[in-house]
Amino acid sequence: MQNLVLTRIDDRLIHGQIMTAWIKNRHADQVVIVDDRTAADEYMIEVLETAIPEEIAIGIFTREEGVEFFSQGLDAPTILLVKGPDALLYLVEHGIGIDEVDVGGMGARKDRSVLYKNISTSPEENDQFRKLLEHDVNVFVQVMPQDRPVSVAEYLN
Amino acid sequence: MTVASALLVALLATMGQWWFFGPVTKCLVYPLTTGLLVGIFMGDPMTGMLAGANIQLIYLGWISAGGTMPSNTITAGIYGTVMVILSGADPTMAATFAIPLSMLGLLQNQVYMTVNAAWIHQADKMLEKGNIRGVRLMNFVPSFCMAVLLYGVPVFLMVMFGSGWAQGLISSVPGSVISALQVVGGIMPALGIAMLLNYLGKPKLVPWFFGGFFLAAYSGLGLTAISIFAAIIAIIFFLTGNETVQKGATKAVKRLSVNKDVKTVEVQDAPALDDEPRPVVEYSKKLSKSTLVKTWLWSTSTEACYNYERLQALGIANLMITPIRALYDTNERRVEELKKYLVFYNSEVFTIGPIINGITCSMEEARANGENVTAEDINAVRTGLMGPVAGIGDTVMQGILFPTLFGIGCSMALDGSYLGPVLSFIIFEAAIFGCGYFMFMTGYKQGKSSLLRILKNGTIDRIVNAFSIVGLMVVGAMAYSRVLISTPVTFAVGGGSTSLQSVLNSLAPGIIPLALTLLVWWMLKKKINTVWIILAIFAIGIAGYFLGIFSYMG
Repeated sequence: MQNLVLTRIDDRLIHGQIMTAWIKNRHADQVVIVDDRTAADEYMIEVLETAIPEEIAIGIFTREEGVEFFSQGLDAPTILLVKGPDALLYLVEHGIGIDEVDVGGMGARKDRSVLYKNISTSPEENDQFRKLLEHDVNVFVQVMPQDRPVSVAEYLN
Repeated sequence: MTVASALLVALLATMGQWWFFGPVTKCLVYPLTTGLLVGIFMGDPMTGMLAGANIQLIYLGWISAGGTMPSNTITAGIYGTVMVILSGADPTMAATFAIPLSMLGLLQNQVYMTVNAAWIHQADKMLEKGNIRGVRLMNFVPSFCMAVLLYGVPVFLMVMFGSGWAQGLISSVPGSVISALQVVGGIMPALGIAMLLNYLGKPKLVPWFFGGFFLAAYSGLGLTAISIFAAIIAIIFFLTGNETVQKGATKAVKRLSVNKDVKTVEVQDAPALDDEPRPVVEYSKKLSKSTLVKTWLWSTSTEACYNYERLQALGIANLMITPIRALYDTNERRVEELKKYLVFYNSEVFTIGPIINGITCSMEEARANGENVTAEDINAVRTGLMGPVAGIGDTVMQGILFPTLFGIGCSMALDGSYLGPVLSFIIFEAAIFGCGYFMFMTGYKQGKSSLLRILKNGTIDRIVNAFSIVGLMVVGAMAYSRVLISTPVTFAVGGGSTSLQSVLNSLAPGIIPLALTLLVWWMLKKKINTVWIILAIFAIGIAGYFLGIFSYMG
């Protein structure tokens, strides 16, 4: 999709890596978060809106809103942030063209095991990754811009 | 070298990675600080300081965010300075030693972060058995041993037995190669400077970089003088609300709506939506001032057992032991309450991050007094806030405060003043830990809404913008005074010969350093990997020297 400069899975959504590195590296003008729980949490919306640098536009949407938003195309360089692969799968299955996905941060949890270095996933999430791959989405791990992207496909088996 | 020297340097290298107490360990990541300390321990403080400052210049603009480390400045600073002192090389050679060492150091850091994950599993087991002290033990002891093994032992051996080898290494290298490497060392600061320029340089602010550069070039003023003027300009802008640093008294948000409209909204400093005033009810169990101060102090060791699996989880569990002991009476209950903190956590933990620890304490206090606060509520707030807070903390501390202060410190050090490393250390630590204490107490007193209040009044944005100006002017002045390259080219004019440098000087002084800095900046903008940029600098420096185009201007 044109102007989608980064699609990233990251538990922590906006944080140091995004603010000090990725926004600048991709020259993004807007950040869109697609996450049902965050979109329903007024407090977190306020925190995220006020934490991001003033010149960056921010939108926090549910999945349905996300589909509506992205189906109109993008006018400005945009970073899409989600917490897990399920939200992306939803977007892709509803016709949003996402070519590549950067897995930037999925922390350890009880139901997750280590997939690659500091990226942990649950079996369901692995299935969602496989489905994304079937949709010809290039899924890779790249924590910081200077890191070499590592394809997720070979670690899924 | 004596055993005492070797032991002290080994301890320094250990604490460089084993971040057991921020006020001691924070600056041991920075070569400017460690260079001087290595110099003192090895009996040559001046060489140590100069080497450390030369190494620091390369790494001024590197930001480690979210548990990543772009290059290991601990190893670069400590091991690099040791190599300079042992070999008797000129401190300008420090960059050549430091760069390969910093890459080797990435391996040390990776092993450390990987192995440390084992200790948090031990802590899980100990807590399961009701052993709270075990959590403290696991946070500090095994990670210390790992740091000794990975960082302390190698440098101990290097200091004890490496001198002959290091001197042999230097004497086996031909003089012309050393001169070529000096040229490389003269260009290398352009990397740190360009990284900062790339980071701080919003289009509106870039002119300040050139302001700093030409002020230094034409006025001959030193960096300290320029930074004082820059600070005055920034303070005037900050106070008068100049448009460059401040768009209004409140924070503006550009809000995207589903139909792609971008609306700029001024967020008011009004109470947050769920801002219930803190209940006036007198809690029967209250956290005392001394418990709070102790908890804040423990927060400075959040990264003692930093690991890839759950990052700062063990450090957070460790710091929460103090308030949880004060709030709950039985060991069973304390264990139960502590368990929720052994989950993935990662934020900036010294400057802004303590606000989350303060908020957590206030929620834990409400919970202990029977209010309807669940463990899930507490963790939802913590995990929601850790990202945005880290974003702001990393920007303020690593992006603005550190490079400005340490840039000035480096320059003073390279002019031979011990005040450089000492002052930058003291001011930096006072600022980050003073701010951290304030954040912790505010978070405790005002709860969840405290962070919104701070974000909404726009102070942080204004500080960032105002100090970006100082940073850019300092960096501009450094491009003139610290990229030490000139050209020895001469050409015949009439009967005599004229040097190209004097022609360039009449155009504009320092035009070669400026061009080199802008070249590196361009490479960064083209998103060329820094490893390739470093290699390009080596190639340009070495080729430039042997072709007779560049010479080192030391």
